[in-house]
Amino acid sequence: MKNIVITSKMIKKELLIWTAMFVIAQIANLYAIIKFDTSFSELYSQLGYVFALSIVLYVLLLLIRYFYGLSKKLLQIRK
Amino acid sequence: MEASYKNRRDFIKQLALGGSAAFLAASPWLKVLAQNDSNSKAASDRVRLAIIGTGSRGNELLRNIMNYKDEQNFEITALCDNYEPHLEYGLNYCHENGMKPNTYNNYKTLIEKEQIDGVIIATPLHQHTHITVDCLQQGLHVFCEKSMARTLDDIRLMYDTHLLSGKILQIGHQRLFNPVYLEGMQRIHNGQLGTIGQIRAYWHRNNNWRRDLPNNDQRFERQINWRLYKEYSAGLLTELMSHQIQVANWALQQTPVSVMGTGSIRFWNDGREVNDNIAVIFSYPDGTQCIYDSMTSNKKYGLEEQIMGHLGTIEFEVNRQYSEEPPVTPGIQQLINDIEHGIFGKLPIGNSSWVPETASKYNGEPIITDDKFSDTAMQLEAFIGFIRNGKAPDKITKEGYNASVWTILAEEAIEKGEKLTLPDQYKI
Repeated sequence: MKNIVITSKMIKKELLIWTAMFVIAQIANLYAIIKFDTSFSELYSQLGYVFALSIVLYVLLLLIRYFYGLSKKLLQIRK
Repeated sequence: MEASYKNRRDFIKQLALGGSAAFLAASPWLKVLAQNDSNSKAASDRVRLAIIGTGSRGNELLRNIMNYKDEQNFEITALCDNYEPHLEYGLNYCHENGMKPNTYNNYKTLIEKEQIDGVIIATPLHQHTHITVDCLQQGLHVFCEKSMARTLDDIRLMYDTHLLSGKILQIGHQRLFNPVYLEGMQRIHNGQLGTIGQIRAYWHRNNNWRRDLPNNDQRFERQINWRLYKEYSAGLLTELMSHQIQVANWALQQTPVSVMGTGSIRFWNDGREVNDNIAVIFSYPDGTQCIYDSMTSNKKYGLEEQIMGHLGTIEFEVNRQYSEEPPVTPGIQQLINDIEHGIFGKLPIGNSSWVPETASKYNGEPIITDDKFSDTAMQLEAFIGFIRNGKAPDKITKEGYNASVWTILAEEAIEKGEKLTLPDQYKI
């Protein structure tokens, strides 16, 4: 059986990616506030929604990264 | 928007102390209720009650009043019913709760023999008047189930006897004590809904409204199913609508100027005499209309009183208030909705020239946060408090009176097929 080792470097990288997604989600929140002319208090009152959105974005990116890695591996095997 | 309270007494006190003058004038019994925290255990302070009529409603009242047996110093000293099984049920329930009332099958004997302060009357409608009048004349305070009586003259007689005797006459309109209604009425009377244009109220059921007869013995038909016969009841009007016209009057702080209506036996052609579906319109002096309907062959919409103003709507039965301008959806949610519609939405081929004005999907806000209470129990607690004070605000009797006269007048309007006004001799 192969041991899976999660290094602190990997954790740091994932946390950084999620933080980036959270920032993107908050930027989307700011854009929506301006576009729909709603209250700026939504910058903090909608943090729960922003957090949920950041998780969705993170998972989407995770899938993309997974398929990218997979296709890269397949190409290497063919070569 | 929603109001919260620790318990019903805190809530009532909060309303009684902080309510506006307009609201307190519309609900003066609140002040008395707020003071009603006497829990004296002295035997001299014990309120002695009798229940006349221990059928389904009488026993329901009995179960409710027992909620306060440890909190309020009262005693059920006598029960009366001319139907033995009902009387036995009530007696057993009292025994289970540590009370040992005497039993009677004639109310006159009861009020002559018993040393009591007040009576709770829950007999069939046509018996309310003579029992109430006899009790008031005997010097007893009376709680009588709604509706007051079968005829306008009987309603007037009950009211006049109450005034002459100086004794309390409280009619069983439990919504007067319901925290959802009290908070909602405060908002209406403070103008939060704006100008009320219409009140829409309805009570829909899908059952035949019949009670089982003992051994299917038809001799008991009229006694048990009295609600279905005109001699004893006006059916949906007196048994259901009377509650809701009381709510409309209370909300508007007016009584109607006219009523018109129609009704029929559409579905339950089983020998009953009262209509199984009705539609009635009450017009008020300021031009507000109250549109009412009731039926017993469809229950999709259940029951409701909708108070509709130009700034908002209150639906009391579901404890909700709706603003005409619902709170704005947060921008981020609007953005995601737009993206979702962009991906999954249907592509319009051409624009429609008219969009159906269907009901708003806005779910509104609760009027109060905690609505787990029994208003039936609260009105009985109030009755005990009123007895202890020796008086109740006259407005509480007037609420019952006005609801009852307009209920009977609605029946007359349906039967005559005319728009009717209240004759002067019944105005108070």
